[in-house]
Amino acid sequence: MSQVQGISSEDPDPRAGGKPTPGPGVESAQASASVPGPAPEPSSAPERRPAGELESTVLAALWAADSPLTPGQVQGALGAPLARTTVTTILTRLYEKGTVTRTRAGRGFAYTPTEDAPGLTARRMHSELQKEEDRSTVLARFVSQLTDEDEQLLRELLDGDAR
Amino acid sequence: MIYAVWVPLLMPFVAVPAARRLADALAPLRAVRLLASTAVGLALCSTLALVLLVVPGATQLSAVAAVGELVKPLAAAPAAVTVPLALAALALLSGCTAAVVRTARRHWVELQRARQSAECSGGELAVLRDSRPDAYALPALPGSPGRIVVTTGMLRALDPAERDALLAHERAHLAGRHHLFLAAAELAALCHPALRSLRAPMGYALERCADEAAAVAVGDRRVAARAIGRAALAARAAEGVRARPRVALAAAAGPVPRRVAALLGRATHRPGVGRAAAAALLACLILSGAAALEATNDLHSSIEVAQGEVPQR
Repeated sequence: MSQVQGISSEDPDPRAGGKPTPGPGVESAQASASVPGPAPEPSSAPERRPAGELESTVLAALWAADSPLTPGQVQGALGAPLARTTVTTILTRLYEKGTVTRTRAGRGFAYTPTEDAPGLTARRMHSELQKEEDRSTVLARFVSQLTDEDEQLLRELLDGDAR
Repeated sequence: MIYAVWVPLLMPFVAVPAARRLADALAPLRAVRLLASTAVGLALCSTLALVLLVVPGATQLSAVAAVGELVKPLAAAPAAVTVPLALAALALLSGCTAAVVRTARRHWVELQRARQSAECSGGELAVLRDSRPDAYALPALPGSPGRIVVTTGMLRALDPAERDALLAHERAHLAGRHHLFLAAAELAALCHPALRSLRAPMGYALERCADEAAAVAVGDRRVAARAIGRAALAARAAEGVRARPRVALAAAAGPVPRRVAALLGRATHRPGVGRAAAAALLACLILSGAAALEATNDLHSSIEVAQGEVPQR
């Protein structure tokens, strides 16, 4: 969604003015209002999400990486495009909370996630819940176990989608 | 003895086959609501029916008859029938109550623990250093936020857009308070054995709700489908040789491929089946409720007769 906006702003379509359909024109007008400029206003779609959600996304990217990430690398490791300044702000906020640590890297910082107190509590809960795995019904797991047939079927579905 | 009292006890056996077809054929949110009201409604009616079976037998005890101000025995049925029936119903009833109380308490304790883990931080995401891919939403009690628990194994199995889909999925579980529906289905299952098989369709419909929310959040159904598929395959790969042998019913595809197929638009669409199943469930629910009411009414009037308030017809 926001990717579409980004593309349409970088490549201003000369046909957009001649087209009678209002759809694309409106979209590119929105995009050109938000994207250009060195310090974009936080008005594009992903940045309107609540701060907590953005923090989770950034934290997930840091945990998925093997090594410390600079704000630029974090920006590249996100699913939805985020302004560099936003990424830096989020990283600073996470650092102040003690959720990530940072080390000097060139002129800036590189960030590493830490296993903080809530992480440890979650770990304790996690191992307790695994003990009583089939008794615990409060939890909805993201994916349930697969059978052999399921695995086969799933691979076919995903391969069919990739083609 | 009125036959209406048996209807709520037998109705769950009729309703469950219809419910199984519901989860795939109906829009997820509608399926969740219908399954929840069916499970809870049928459980309440069958519990009421058990109570109604206990009462006539109990009035054979002189103490109960005195409390009820009965001047003559209930004309419902001979004591040789009502007393054993009442004893059996009482045993079932106390078994159910004990199980419901035990399970409700266990849920409460688990949620309390979840709250403890949520209290000491502001973040919604808790990451565990664990190579086995796993992710779930830890529901919260009123006043404290829920949390998303994900292992590093899961985060590394997915690409950035898929991670967003995963987070959006778990967020939908928390925002929709889906654990309450799961708990309701489980408590209902304790009240009547036939209702046990409503738990799987309920779980599936809730996952579908969260999947659809994730697809909307990332703006791409295929990304959401891939996230689920790759997470499941990664979890299976990590399980490796330790995989527990499962007594699997190979006839129907498991929940994960069905969820992926639904997101990719490959699921067979049969809205007629959905409507028929929904109508059948509603009919069961109404019939069960009406029969329970009828049986209550009947018992009430026979008690009034026994109290000498109304001359026997």
